[in-house]
Order: sequence, then C-alpha cells, then structure tokens
Amino acid sequence: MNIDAFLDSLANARSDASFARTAAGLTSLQAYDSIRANGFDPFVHEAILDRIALDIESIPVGTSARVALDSVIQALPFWDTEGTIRIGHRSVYTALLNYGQALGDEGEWPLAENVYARVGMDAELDGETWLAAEARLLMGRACRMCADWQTSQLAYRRAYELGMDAGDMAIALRAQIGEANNLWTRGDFPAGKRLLARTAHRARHSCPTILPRVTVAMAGLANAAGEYERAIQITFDLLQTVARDDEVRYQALVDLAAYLVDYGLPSVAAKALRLVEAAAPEAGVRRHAQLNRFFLAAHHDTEQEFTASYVAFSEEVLAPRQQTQLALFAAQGYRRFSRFDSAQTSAEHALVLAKQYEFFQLVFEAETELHEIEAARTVDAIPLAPASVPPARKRRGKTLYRSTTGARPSPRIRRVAESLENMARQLGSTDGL
Amino acid sequence: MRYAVLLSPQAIARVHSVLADNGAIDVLLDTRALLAELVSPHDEGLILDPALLSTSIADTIASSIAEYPRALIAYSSVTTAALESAVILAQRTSARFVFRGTPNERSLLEQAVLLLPDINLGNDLLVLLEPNLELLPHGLRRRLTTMFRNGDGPFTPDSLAAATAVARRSLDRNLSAAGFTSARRVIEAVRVASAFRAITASRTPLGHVAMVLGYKSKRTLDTQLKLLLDITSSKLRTDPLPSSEAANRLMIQLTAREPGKYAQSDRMPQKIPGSGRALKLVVDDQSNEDARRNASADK
Repeated sequence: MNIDAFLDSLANARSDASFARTAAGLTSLQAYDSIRANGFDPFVHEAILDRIALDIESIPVGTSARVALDSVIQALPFWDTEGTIRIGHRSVYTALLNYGQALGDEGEWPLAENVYARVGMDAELDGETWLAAEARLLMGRACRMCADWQTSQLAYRRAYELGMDAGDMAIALRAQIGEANNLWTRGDFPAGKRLLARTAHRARHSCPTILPRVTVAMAGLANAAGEYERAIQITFDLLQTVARDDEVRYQALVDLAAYLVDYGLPSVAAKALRLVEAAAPEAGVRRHAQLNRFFLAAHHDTEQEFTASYVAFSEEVLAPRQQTQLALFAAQGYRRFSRFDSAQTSAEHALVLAKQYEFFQLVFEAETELHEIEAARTVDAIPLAPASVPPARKRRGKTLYRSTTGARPSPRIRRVAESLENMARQLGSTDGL
Repeated sequence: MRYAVLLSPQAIARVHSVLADNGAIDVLLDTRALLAELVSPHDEGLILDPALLSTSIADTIASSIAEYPRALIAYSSVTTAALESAVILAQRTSARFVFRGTPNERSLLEQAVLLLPDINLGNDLLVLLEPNLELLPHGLRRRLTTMFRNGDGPFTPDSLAAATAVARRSLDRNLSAAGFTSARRVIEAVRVASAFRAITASRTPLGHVAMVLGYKSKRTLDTQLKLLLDITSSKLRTDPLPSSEAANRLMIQLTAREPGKYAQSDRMPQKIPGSGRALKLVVDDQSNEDARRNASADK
C-alpha cells in the first residue's frame, strides 16, 4: 500500500487531534490490508481494532472522519463473511469510501486520493464493478483538488468505463462532467463546453436525473468565462426545476451566490446564502454557506456586522480548511476596516494553519494578504472604502438594486433577485434576511 | 407496485424521491407491524434497514421469506448493528443490499427499488436450469442462483469471473460445459429477468426501465427482449407473458448447447502417443466424420 501521503501528514501534524486522526486512518488501512491478505483472525486483529477504537476517541465528536473510521473498524471483522453476495467486502469498501469522503470534507485530499485509489483497485479485482466505478469517480475529484490533472483525467475515464460496465449511466455521465470540469478549470473553455454539451445530450436521452449536474457545471463554466448573467440565469432556471432534490438545490443556491458576487450583487448573494444556512438539511452545506457569507461580510458589510458574524463564527468547531479560510477572511475584513494589528494576527494565523495542513493555495493567499496589510499600513493616510455596496432602496414597494459598480442590473438579474427575496419570505424569516 | 418499508424517516424520504410516481409505500412503524406484514398474502416488496432489526427478528424474517417468498431490499449504513442482521439476511435470503453514504447511492437504490425481482419467474427459471446449474462449480452455481433470484450481479463477463474468483477462460469453459450459451447471454438474461416485473406489473415508463437497467434506450431493451423472450417491451406490458412461459423462453435461449457435450476432458488438447511434444487437435466425432467424407469425395 502506498502510504506516503499518510506519513507526510503524520510528520506535519502539529496538533494531537490531527495526529490521532491521521494515525487512526493509517492503522485502519494497514489493518484492512492485513485482513484482506490473510483473512480476519480475532487473535491478531481484534487487538489492533481495539487500539484504533482508542485512537478514534481522540478525534472530536461529531466529525465525519470519526463516524467514518468507526464504521471501517466495525465492518472489518465481517470481511470474510459471505452470503449470497460478499457482504463483508461490500460493507468494508463502502465504509472506506465514506472515510475518503470524510477526509475530503476536511480538505485532506491527498489522503482521500490514497484511500480511493486503494478501494478502486481492490473492488475492481473483486468484481465489485459499481463500487470500483464510484471509487474512481471520487478519486478523479480528489486528484483535481490536489491539482494532479493527469491522474484525475485517468481516474474519470476509468470511472466512465466502469460505470458503463456496471450499467450505471449516472456514474458514467458524472465522470464526463468531472472531466469537463477539469478542462475548463485549466482554462480550456471550448473543449469543456463541447464535452458538457455532449454529456447533456446523452443525459437528456439516457439519464435525465443527471441533467441538473450538467447544468451546474455549465453555469460554472459560463461564470469562469466571464458570462456572469448567463451563469446566474442558468442556475436560477435550474433552481426552479429541482425543488425536490435538496442535494442539487442547495448546491445551486451556493453557486448562485458566488455568481451574484462576481456580478456585483453581494447583498442578493447574502440572501441566497442565508436561505441555505436556514434550510439546507446537510450540516456541511450549511457551514459552507456560512463561511461564504462571512467572506461577504468581510468584503461588503459594515464593521459591526463583520465583527458580530466573526464572533458568532469563531465559537464553531471547524474543519482545518475552514479554520484557515476563516482566519484569512477575517484578516481581509480587518484590513478593510484599517485594523491592521488584528489583520496581521489573523493573516499570520491563517498562514500557520495553511502551512500546517499543506493548503498551498491558501498559503499563497495568506502571504499575499500579509503583503497587502504591509502596503496598506504604509498608505494608512488614505482610508480604504468601507461598505462598498450601495444599499438597496425601495420605491413603490419594489426594491431598486445597485451593483458594486453602481450600475443597474439587467431586468433578468433583477427578477432573480426578487425571486430570491420571495423565497426568503416564504421561508418565514424575512426579518433575518 | 407497492412497497412495505421499515426505515428511518430520512431513508423513507430517499425511497419516496426515488420512486416518484412509480409506486406506493406502506410505512411499517415497528418490527411488530413488520412481522404481521410478513405473513400477509400481499406480494409487496420489502425495504428494510437491518440496523432497526435485532438478529432474532432477522432470523424470523429469513424463515418467513423462505416460506412466503418475496422481494427484499436491505438499505442501511455500515454499522455493527446493521451488519449483524445484514449478514443473516445475506446468508439466508436473496436480499439485495444497498449501503448508504456513497455519492451515487441514489442510482443503486433506484435500480434495486424499481427492478424488483419477479419471484415466480426466478423460481421457474431455476427449476428449468437446475440440470445445467448442477454441472457448475459450487461458487459459480451459487452466484448465478442469486443473480437469477434477485437480479443483482455483475454486468460484464469479466466482473462475473472476478466476483466468482475464477479466471475468465475458466468461467467460459465452466459455463459451456454446463450447456450455457455464453457468459454474456447469462448476464443479459439476468438483466432482462430483473426487469420483467417492472415491465409487466408497474406503470414505470418503459424508457425509464431501460435507463435503470443501464441500456442506452428503450430500443436496446426491446432488442434484448426480442432476442431472449421474443417479444417487445410494449407488447409485454400490454399482454404479459405468464412467468412459466417467460422462464421457458429464457431457458431455451440460455441453454442452446447440450450440457456435457463440451465436457472439459474432451476439450483439453491431448498428447499424441509416442511423441513427447506434439499435440493433437481435438475435434468432434461429427467433424472427423465430415473430414473423412470430404477426403474420400476428393479422391
């Protein structure tokens, strides 16, 4: 088993919790390897599993990694159990995939990639084609997050083939969406667009359930290509059609908020994010929306609002990546309000966290932020603009929106903003929004 | 189609969203209601969370299903409580398992729920295929039996070989020795059989059935149905075949070969007596006869 990523993570772990979490994961994978090779022997493996269970107790309660590792060690003793199907193998592979997802949620993408690669290979050798396809699909995403583009492409292609072999068109088409996302993320918009159009065509005929995901990817591409209005319109149209699918609905709302910010309507974006915070069933999605809204507060709200949301947020238990982002956004907010000492402290904290957990993109952003703070200190005489968004005014019961540039948004975008307000009203928390 | 479910509220919502308008759900509130449901004469599919069952209840369910066969789907997370009951169900029933927590769990659940196996067709087919299945090695026989019963299995011959822990060539050899036409034909037959109930007894659109089966379109489904059952999906829906007739047609397509004709010992290359190296090509007696006749005609 390739355990380099785990060893690196252990060597760089600077807190007991992080060390215990990685160590428990590594030991679980080693136990899995041993059980897979030699079968489950209670005299040998029970002691190991007990030790892992003790390690797991040092992981904060409620984190997804803890739950996932718990299910791995619960499934391992059943490895050799067979019935009409190999139930032991299936449950262990599923538990390991859950563990990989938990690692991904916490931003530990290299570790997640390792786990997915292992499951993908073993499940394929076992003839568990569906699970192998799923593992390769997840591996494609993990590699993309590690900027390992080639491996990501290979994983997506294999996921496509295995998905077709498993008779699951949804996996095959999701693999193609992943491949298209890789293309446009690297700037190849035409190729990404072509692949998405092809995927949409196939999805329409063979697997309509996947169409919303194609639309989400198309909107992402449009936004990346600078077609903000189109991105907003596509996502908003999608929202009208996926009222019953919570997973896509809230992802679309978070995306819509990001596009609205890029378009220059942060106040409307904040409304979309508050909707997600108030109604999304998954805690991870709610937290994501909360963090995005804090970013908006740091860049567009008043000082009081920013400070209040920072205080509220700093009491939450966050994953390492989220902690780093929170510190970075706080630094950006403090800088905007000319509180340079606090900004410097936050940026340095973000830098330490980003280095500790190897979030290289965030290391770069934190370093840039430190330079910006230094630069702002030297020109302190010129105050930075406070809240840059003109507040939305009301006239004859209608809200008049203004973008950050002062321009009036197009009628289509105004309709989107009004609909978001209506959705918020329907949710019954208009005051809060 | 109707389904009796004993699941957590979140899982029930997921089943609802998968079913949409293609079926109805009877929610069972506790294991007592489940036990009452087990002996009812309705032919509903059962969807259970093994985590909500004790091992003794799982035992009872297994015994009851052996007596009153019905389609069973186990839908749960991976926990010790769930696994203990799940193992009993896996060992004593032909339940189909869907574990929660993977991104595409929905499509797997959709397959399991919409393609509920037709118990009678499965039983009839297994009775007809018994002489052939008897000739297979134990592992392969068990796997095929499960596949015919619950429609859950590998979709390619290579995965079937991997799942039964034999080499692909051995799989082909074993199947042909038992009189099966080919591994691919067996897999297609399992797929078609798994859709039989969805086509004949539900209102799920046929295009959707084809999609859930993993076919590109309804036309591909029709091609397979025509090949194996000699009927199209629309015709099958309007004028359903009795399960015994469908089983008979499937059996004929599956066993075009006579069992034992290509027994392994006959097909192995043999050494020519007196020669250390050379191998004699083994051909059928019939072919030998033909060759001799042709040679004499040439003379």
